[in-house]
Amino acid sequence: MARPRSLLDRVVLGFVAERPGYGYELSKRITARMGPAWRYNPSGIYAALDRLEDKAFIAGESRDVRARRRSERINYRVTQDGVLDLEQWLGSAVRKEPVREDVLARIAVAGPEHAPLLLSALEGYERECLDIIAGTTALQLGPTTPWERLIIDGVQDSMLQHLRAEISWVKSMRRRIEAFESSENA
Amino acid sequence: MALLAFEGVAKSYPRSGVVFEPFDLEIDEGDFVGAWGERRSGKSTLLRLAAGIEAPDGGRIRFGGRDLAGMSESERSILRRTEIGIAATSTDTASLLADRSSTVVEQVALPLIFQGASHNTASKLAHHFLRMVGVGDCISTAPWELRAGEITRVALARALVREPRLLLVDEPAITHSPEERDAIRELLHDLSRRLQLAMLVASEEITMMAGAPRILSVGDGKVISNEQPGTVIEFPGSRLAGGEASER
Repeated sequence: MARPRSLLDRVVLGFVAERPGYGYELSKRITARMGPAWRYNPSGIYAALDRLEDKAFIAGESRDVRARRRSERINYRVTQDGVLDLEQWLGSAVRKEPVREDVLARIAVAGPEHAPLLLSALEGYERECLDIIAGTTALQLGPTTPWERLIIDGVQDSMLQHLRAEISWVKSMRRRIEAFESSENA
Repeated sequence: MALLAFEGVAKSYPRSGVVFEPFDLEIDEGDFVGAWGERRSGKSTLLRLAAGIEAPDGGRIRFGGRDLAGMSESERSILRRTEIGIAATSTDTASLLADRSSTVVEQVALPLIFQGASHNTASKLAHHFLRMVGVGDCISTAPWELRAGEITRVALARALVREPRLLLVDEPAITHSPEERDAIRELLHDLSRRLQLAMLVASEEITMMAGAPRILSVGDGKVISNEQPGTVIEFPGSRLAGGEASER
């Protein structure tokens, strides 16, 4: 069986399986459910829908059906193969994703003379983490079923605890760099 | 003009050292601001400075344009009884539970009675705010029978009954279940919107910050806000300082 290419493909497949939908409607549902920490290009959903349809995991409604609905929007529904692939993925082992690659890469290549630049980058990173926390209101929008509420709360909790750890780490890293600078200047 | 303005405020303690390096902060009417930090990071100090309970070592703090340092202690005390409300779960819990003779509604009405309101008026307002914070069914309950979430709500009603312009909230849900914590957070946002009330909510619980348009990260002497622009550092000898950096 052909496999979807990316995580976005899997997510789009899952949301189509939840209930049929079209591109824009799916992107709104994904954003509301996944929150601001999960970043993706909404236009990528259309490419994902094309790939999933090519693999016969989903099926778009025909031109005739759309004409009867008097709409150009293509509603997609999941196929039996799509359901099987989704369930296989849901139960498969989860791999730990790398954390803060960008910041760690900068730290890895920086020298002591770059300490002020690192402190600036860390402060910017801390602000970005705070901004994501501030943006979590998107998760509160719209009516939800008890199961959707459970999922939204769980996703939000995961994101917030991760961001808390990130901000704590930034503070700790900043303390280390500032202590180093103080000892060098002493 | 901002409702509350910190201008170059700095604070240190002899034993614990620098709590705040000089920083600025402005809170307007109806603003919702979260202050997150780990234990002993300075969150409560931030609230005490905002309430005029403590004075900064440097800079100035203005409320409604008036410099708090220029007021007498009794003027600052009146300000805290009228325009600045304080809901601190730990102290409110202690004071609520210490009184073995009053009901919840009497506890909430008490600040107004001290201010000279009639028992009838104070009681009506207490009922109104207890219903608003979701504990309308606890009116005749003895405080020691309240659950953690209810104590927080009663503490909020007790602060709101004076109809302040700024509400300072310290650790509103630290001992609560995740569900209660989320409910309190939503309540605070709802109150701020409905009453056009400025709020500064301090907590070490990151989930209390979710959805706050402005969040301050407090700790190591710094107050970092998501709304401030990133610092630009001129770095002598760097290609970046000369503006020669290019994407490669």
